[in-house]
Amino acid sequence: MTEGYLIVNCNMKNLTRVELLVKSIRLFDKERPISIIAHEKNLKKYLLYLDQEIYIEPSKILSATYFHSLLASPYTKTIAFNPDQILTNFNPDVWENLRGMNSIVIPKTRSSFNGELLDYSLYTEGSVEQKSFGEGSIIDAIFFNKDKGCDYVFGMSVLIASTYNQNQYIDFFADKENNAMPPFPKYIWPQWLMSLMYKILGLKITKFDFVNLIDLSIRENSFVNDNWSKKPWTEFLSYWVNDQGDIKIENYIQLGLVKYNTSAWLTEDTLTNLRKKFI
Amino acid sequence: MSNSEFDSGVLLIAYNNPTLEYTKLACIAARSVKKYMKHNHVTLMTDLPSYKQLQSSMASELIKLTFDNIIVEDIEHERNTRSHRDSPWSEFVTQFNNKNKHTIFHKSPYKKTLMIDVDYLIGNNTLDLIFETNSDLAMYKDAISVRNYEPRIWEQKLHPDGIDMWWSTAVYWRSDSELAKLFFGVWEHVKENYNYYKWLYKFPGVLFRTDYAVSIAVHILNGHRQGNLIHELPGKVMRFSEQIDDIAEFKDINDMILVCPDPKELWKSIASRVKNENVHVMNKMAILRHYPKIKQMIYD
Repeated sequence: MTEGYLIVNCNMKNLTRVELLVKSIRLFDKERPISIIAHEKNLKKYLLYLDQEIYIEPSKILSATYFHSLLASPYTKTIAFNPDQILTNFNPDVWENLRGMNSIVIPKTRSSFNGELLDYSLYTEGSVEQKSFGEGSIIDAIFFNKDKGCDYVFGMSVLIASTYNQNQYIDFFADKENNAMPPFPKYIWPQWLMSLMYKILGLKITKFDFVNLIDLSIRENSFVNDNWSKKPWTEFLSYWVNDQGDIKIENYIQLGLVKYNTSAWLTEDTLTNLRKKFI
Repeated sequence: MSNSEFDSGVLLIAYNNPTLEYTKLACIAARSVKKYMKHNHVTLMTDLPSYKQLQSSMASELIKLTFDNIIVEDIEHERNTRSHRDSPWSEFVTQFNNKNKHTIFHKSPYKKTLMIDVDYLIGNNTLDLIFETNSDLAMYKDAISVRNYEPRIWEQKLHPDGIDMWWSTAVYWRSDSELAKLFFGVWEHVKENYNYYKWLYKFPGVLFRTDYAVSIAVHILNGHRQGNLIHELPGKVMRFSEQIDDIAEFKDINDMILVCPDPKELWKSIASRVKNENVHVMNKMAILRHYPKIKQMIYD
């Protein structure tokens, strides 16, 4: 029975981001191994602290690739992250809680840089999930346990993603008696699939904030402040990384898993300060 | 260290200037505290010229009836000019003595103190509740105007993307609290380095605002993130009346009719009656215009 971390969707282009994420995980958890799902070969030689590099040929359907990557985890129990993220605070004792939970655990909430909670209903995809399933899903970090049947959920997700056809779904699920059409989107995305799985297999999925999630994505924040949709956050928010590697945005310290979306803030200076912290 | 002589009470600060007689406002605030609150031991903190002005304008029996304790200081105030509005149509600039407000921590004679600005008129006993708690420190973060408008953006946050603004209009603390001691220390530090913090937190204006100083202190004590180390006062939302509002009538000390212009179209006003509520009336001149009538109400 093994426990470890998995970073999906790694390639040469995002290698610096992956390097930072690997090192930041290692800062908080010195015991558990870290593996990557690579879409290009031989990335391992550029990365320290890496356990395994698992190569997967990316499919044209991104959602299928995502769930396929999770299925390929070499560990029985895994916490998976995406490359455009960095851990600035994490308590590995949370593994103890996760062991006793369902086969899949995803975060319940996420907030912006200033601690304000982000609401699903404030961006298009989130509101589609909410209308269809009652709530959305956050998969910026995901825990899964192969001993408890997560393979079944991910396998079904790959299958649906690979064969999804909007019209077929509408035809199948349409409530012809009441002339109501379920809001199946033209394309589906991993969060939508997870929300669908949550709706039909709720018992297998738990929502629990095992990491404090800070999301600087455009779509989640642009409803609150229009600047987000016009330019990268690095152009209108003040931020700095001090020589202890602390990240502050508009005087708010960023503690948790920071999904930073753009690499514009990863200048030579900030990289130097972050690397100092990881050493 | 604490010099607490009394268990609990309300502290008022009044430093007169040539335009505004803060001691008169303090009398109104003190009498409203005595009328509506249970924890109504009142201390006035003032300076020598203001105290002399108070003595010359009011019989000593009435002063004793109003204030249980008076702290008179011989201080020289730092220059801090502030532009006030008295309705939309009148504006004046005068000295604003607020730079030693943080010293209340050491000067208060209470173990549990509620400091309120003298333009915060008490109309009910909601604030008594805070004395029954074990809270170290409490203030208001949220406010709503008597028109039921949110405060302007600069009074919600220090900057549109910045930290939340807390109001220093009402501050409660326990004198034996290390957190409170630290808070007032940080407040002083921010005051001493105000220009630096103004640059760092990107807020506007040249006036030293204690609201901004306490907001930064709260943010720092919360570890530079959202937190709940500092509590919100009972009622949770502070009612306030803007400087452009005028008071048409005081029916009672806790029952007033205000004329409230629309901030965007100043010639359009509505009347708003505020009854049995605590209200921060920012147009001090408007209160003072009604002082003769209010004096009758509070002393008869």
